[in-house]
Amino acid sequence: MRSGARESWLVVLFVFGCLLFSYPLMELFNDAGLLFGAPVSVLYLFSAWLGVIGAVWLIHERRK
Amino acid sequence: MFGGLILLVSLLYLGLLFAIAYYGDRRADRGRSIINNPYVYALSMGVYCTAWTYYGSVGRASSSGLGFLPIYIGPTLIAVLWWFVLRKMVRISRVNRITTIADFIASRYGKSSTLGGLVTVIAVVGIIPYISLQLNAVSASFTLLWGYPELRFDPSDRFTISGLDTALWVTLGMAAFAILFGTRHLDVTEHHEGLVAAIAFESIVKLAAFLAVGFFVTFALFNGPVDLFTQAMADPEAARLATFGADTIDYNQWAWLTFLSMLAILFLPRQFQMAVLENMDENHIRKASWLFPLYLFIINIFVFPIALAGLIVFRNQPMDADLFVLGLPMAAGNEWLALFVFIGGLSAATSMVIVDTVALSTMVSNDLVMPLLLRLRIVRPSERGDYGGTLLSIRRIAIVVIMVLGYVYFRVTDTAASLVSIGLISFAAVAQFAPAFLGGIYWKGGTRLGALSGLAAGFLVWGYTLPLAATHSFGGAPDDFLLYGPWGISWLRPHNLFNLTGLDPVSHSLFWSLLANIGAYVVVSLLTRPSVIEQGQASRFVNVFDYSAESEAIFLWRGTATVQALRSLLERFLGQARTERELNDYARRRSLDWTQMHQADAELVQFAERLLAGVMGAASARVAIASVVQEERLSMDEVLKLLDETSQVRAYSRQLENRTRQLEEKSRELEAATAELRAANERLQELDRLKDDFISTVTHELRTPLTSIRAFSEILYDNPTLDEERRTQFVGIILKESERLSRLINQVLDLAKLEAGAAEWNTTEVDLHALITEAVRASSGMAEEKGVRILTHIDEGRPLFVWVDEDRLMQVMLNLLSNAIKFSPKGRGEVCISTECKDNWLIVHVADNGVGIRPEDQKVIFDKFRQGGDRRMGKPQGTGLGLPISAQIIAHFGGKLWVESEPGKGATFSFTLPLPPSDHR
Repeated sequence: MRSGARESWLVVLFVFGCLLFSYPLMELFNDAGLLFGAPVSVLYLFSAWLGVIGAVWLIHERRK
Repeated sequence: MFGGLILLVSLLYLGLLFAIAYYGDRRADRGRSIINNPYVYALSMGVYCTAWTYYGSVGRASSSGLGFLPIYIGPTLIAVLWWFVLRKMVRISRVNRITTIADFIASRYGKSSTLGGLVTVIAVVGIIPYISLQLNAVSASFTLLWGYPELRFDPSDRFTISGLDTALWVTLGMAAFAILFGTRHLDVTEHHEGLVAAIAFESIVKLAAFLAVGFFVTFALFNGPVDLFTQAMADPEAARLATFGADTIDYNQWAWLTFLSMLAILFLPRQFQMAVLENMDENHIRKASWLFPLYLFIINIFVFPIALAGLIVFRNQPMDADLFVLGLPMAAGNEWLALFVFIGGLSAATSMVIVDTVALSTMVSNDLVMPLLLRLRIVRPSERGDYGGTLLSIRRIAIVVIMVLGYVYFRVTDTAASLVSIGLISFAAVAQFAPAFLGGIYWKGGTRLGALSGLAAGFLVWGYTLPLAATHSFGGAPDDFLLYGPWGISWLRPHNLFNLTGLDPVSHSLFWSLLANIGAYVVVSLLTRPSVIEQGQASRFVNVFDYSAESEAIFLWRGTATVQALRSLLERFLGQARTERELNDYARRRSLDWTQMHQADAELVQFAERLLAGVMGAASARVAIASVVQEERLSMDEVLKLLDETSQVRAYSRQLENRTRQLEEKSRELEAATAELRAANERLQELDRLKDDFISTVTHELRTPLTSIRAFSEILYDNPTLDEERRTQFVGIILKESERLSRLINQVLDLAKLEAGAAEWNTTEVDLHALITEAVRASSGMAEEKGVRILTHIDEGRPLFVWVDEDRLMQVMLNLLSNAIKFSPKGRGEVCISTECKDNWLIVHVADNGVGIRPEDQKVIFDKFRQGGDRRMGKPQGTGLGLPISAQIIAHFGGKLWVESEPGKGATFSFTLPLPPSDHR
């Protein structure tokens, strides 16, 4: 990764993460209906959460 | 029977924790740390998950649905930025030997003990509800489990089981445990390796226990998550929990809670302790910033399913939702799982209580009590005594007081309030640190007064809108104070300040308190001028990455202290052995010798202050140091200069340095040029004076023969009848004086040529012996006339070659010979010429047996127109230019001309000439 690129990616991820967990996007998935056996809202929140964690892992651990 | 088992297992578990802590400390002592890896670091941060997470999240989920999540989403998001924020906090703390978050803020704003005290008060008051939450949860879960196999829970039971107040016993037990655990070391900047190991272990236990109950509920009570969700969502009452809305959690509240927990994960005293102070390596932050969120993720997976299952299982049964986690395995008759779950809850609560009390008691002792004792002069560092023990006692007392306050809060406030709502009060309290803290590490303009006013304002608003309000809702029923405001003033209602509606109490409080806090901090900071030390600290904090650890520390100090005074001060707080060790290390690093050093320099004073700061915090250390040190205040200009030199961004500073160096070089060049000019000027003036002297002497010397020529010519002209004899005599004088005049003019010209370097030199190989013989023959007429014998002690047969201009050397020889003959006594004079070879030099001596030269004249005779002897003795017998010319010629050949003489015993003129290398075989 280019020097300084990791830092930029982290900032981008933070802003993107804040968007994922706030009003307009969350409203899209505000549904108690079941998808793969779990409520859509729960599924969205947990997968978005895991996505952010995975992205941090990718930024910090890959091609070090 | 089961009750006894619960107690036994609990005690065994706490014993195990001790064993782990002991093992961790032992390993650390042997230099083989078990916590020095990112995994233990991330696990130790799991102290974030307390009884709140363990029991409270399920309770929260069963009433507000997904409203339990922002508390974990916030930390996940801020963890993305840890590489910037947390790393900076870690670096600053290590460089400044920070001991607590109060110490951090106090240090930043000029090591202010007032500020440190205020932060401590806020932290203690703010964390008390949080501690009461743990007591609440442990005593409730204990009471519920005690009743097994009966499944009955009445909140009031917590005070009355077998006539015992379980909450009080839990309080005292935990206080004892925290004291044993947390106050074993004095220096809080040394890593608590054992403690961290135990906390990491507790994180594993609570995660395992929670996952165990999650799997049990999902897969044993129900047929997997699909079955559980399908059953639950069939009930519209439960389905509503999976959505956002006014009756669960709205987006507004979600956003506020996410924001709040972002601040909490940074500023909770226990998080600060684990993430910042116990950090062993900044690079661990990389792994921790995804491992810790992953931990949060895993521990939250089963929260919602357990809440839904609890709602289904206890549909027709009164059961506190905060106890679903324990109630479900009990209801299923699985007492071993229930016991494991209880231990998991106990570990969640104890980890929080231990770390928070360690952090808070350190704050109380270092930032509140010690500065007070020092200021009130109850503790006098300049007097004998062991104050390390005092510090530890203060910490132990502080732990008991904090735990008891937690218990009192628990009894006074609404015992029916949910765990999460209690915990959020504490979150909002520590959020008050954010402006002063973040402002402190990113904005140099923040001042001590700004931070003080911001914190005070935020703390007051928080206190009014949350904990005070909480004491007015006993049994969940709000009283008049909440409903109508104090004295019926409606815009002062604690949950609706200025009649603001539409926000839940926590968001409402957070909004107003942060508004007051940030507003006061920024405005007062801009209105006040930071002191000298504040500016120094601001620069050290904000630009921490520009300082290479300790080497570039600014010495914002000037004063005097004796090494002895510092040593005994350190001994009083650190103990003799440790003081000895640290000072010896210091001396070895800098190759100092204590026996040679009596006066401490700024570096040593700063070293001592940092050592003390590690034990008692920056503010106290400063007061203690000040008591043995005579300080001089630095002026603003001096500090600004220091800051300019050291605190700029590297590139900028290098640029500055370059320019300074250029300027310095230029000024040095200028100085050198000025000095040269001055020297040249002096030389010129000297030369000018010499020239004037020379001209006046020359004119004088020329005038003497001219005058006599003119006088005798006039006599001849005026007296044509003068007899033949007199006429011949006078013409003879005129002739002689004319010769003298022309000789003088020739010599002046010759000397001028020599001095100007314009003389022509015709260097050849010359046989010195032949040259001397020739000179003697040339002078023999003059010698005979005066009756002087010339002796030569030379080996005439053997040639001695030198590289010279033959005519010039002859000129010197003749000059010396004629001088010798002139000053030899008439008739019995003797002039002796000899040569000798010494090293690479050939020395020629010309000795006479005349009157000699007085010592004071021996130098003067080499000056122009100066002659030896007494002027009254009559007219000088030469021009006074012969010797200066000879000296010039010899100097040109690379030799030296000098005289040795004793008055009355004759004089010996000697000169040296370099021998050609070929002759030196």
